[in-house]
Amino acid sequence: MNKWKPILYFSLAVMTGSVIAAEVTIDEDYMQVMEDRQKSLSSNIALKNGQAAVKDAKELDEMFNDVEAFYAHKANASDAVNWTKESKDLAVAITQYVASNDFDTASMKAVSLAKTCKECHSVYKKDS
Amino acid sequence: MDNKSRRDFMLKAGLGLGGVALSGFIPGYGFYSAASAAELIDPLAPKAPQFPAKVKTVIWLHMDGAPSTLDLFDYKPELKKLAGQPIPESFLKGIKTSTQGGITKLFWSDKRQWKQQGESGAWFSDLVPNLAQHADKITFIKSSVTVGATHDISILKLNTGDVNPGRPSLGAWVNFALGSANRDLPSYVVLYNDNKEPRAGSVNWSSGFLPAVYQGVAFRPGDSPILNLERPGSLIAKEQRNALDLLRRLNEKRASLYPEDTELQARIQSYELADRMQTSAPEAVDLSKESEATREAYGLNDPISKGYGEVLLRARRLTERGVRFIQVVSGPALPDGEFRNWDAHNSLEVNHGNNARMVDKPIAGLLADLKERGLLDTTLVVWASEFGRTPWGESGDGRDHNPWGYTQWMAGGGVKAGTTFGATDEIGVQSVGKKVDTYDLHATVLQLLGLNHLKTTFLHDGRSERPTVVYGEVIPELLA
Repeated sequence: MNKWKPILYFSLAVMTGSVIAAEVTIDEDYMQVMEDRQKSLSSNIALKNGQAAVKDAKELDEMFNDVEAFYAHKANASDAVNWTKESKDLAVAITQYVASNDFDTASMKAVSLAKTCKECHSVYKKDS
Repeated sequence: MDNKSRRDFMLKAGLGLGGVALSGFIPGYGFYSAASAAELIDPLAPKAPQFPAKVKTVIWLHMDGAPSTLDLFDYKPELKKLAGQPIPESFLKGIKTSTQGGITKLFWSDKRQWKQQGESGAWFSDLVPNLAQHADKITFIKSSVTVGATHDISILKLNTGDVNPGRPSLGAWVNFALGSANRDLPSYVVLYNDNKEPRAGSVNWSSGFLPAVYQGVAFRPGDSPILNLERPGSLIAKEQRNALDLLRRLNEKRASLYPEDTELQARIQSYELADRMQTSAPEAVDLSKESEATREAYGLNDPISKGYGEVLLRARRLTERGVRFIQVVSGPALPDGEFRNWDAHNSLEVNHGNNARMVDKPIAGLLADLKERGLLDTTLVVWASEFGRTPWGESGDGRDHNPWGYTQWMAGGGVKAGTTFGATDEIGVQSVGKKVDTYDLHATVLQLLGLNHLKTTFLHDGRSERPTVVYGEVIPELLA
């Protein structure tokens, strides 16, 4: 039984995690946090602060998981899911470019990430 | 003479320069750690571009009120065919159309005549016959997009890249990054042909979080470009010079005791700049020595285009004198007329008839004049607006706001003249293919000035800020 314990715990953790993710409300406050993290990411890339940039990118990647789960549960929102997946890929790519000290490419990828967010907002962001 | 205004100007100039110096002592200030004390006390010292620049000066023509480029440059035969019918749903996919006039039937003016011009074959309507003669100098951007909001908000985005006040305008970034090429004039000047400042206000030429010294200086129309800059009648030039010399000596004496106090040194410089500007600014805008042929070419002999023509002639004179960024805001075609700008929610024919007549000849004259004087290769002229207008009608004979697809253009050094980039759909609702947002336009303008928008940065509140916020891509297809 002991040898199955880690797998059981891992499965429970994954299940719990996904439930939590699905329950996260992607509201204006959440998006504000994401927007701020994105600005922080751009700034840290420009300042060549690799450690902080990687931290920002990873946090964004995690938040995009929540966004993806949120839209996956909605009807007719496959485009939002795709944009989120694209954003996650970009966040991962940024982490890799920063890790290899290629801040110029990381900076351009951060612009692509911002544009992807903007495209999604053009459809899903509610007018205030 | 209003002493308060003169004091205000001197104070602002002083605080601008002084503010920069002061900022050097604030943790997190942009270039404090990298800059020498000399740079801190002289923030407008010329700075080399990051790579060879194509242009030295930008003339940023903001068409206030948002012209309908569907009636000027973006010919849509399909719109003509569908005029009077409801807009097919397919054209509205993916956009939120909460514009004030609602979506009504498609509108087309039967009075409009269209013709292809030049070797490029670009389309121009009969509203801009003079500009049409310069088709092969122009690079059209027909897939412009922005945030559609009120005029003021979208104008702010056009000039600063954000919909909230507080960010520096594009001109301020240029001023910050390149400094001044003429120490007798402001290097960022705002011109307008109205009897009051443009409605969206000075926030559109603000330095935002950059030091105040980088903000634009608004030149009023008329012979006295800066309010009450001239000497009081009771004070002769020699007296003023003596007073300034005394002030300088006293300040320098004090400054010698505190060599690190760059604020005081900056203030000394600001007084000298204001003194120099008292003679150089009026001379720079004095059109009295311009030839009759030039006056005619700029439309100064037509009451509709006279005001705007004078402003553009001044823009050329400032270009000759090395001013880096000249922001021109279009005013009313008729000072007391019904239409204050291009905002034709109704009576588009009359509105655009007047506004196009106001700008057509002057802009054509400017392009020809710059070319003739060998300045066009080093100058970038940009036609920009806060948004465009819808293909559907409003109030029967007007058009509503359209942020989803409209035309802007550039002409001058470094651009692919006689070409068109991007397009709108068959009836001109939205851009199709690669879109050009204001950030992308800014990034491309900066590129032509020898500046990488990603590396033109300023540390503010612990964050590295740049002109394009977190966006912006240079559009290589626009570049020669």
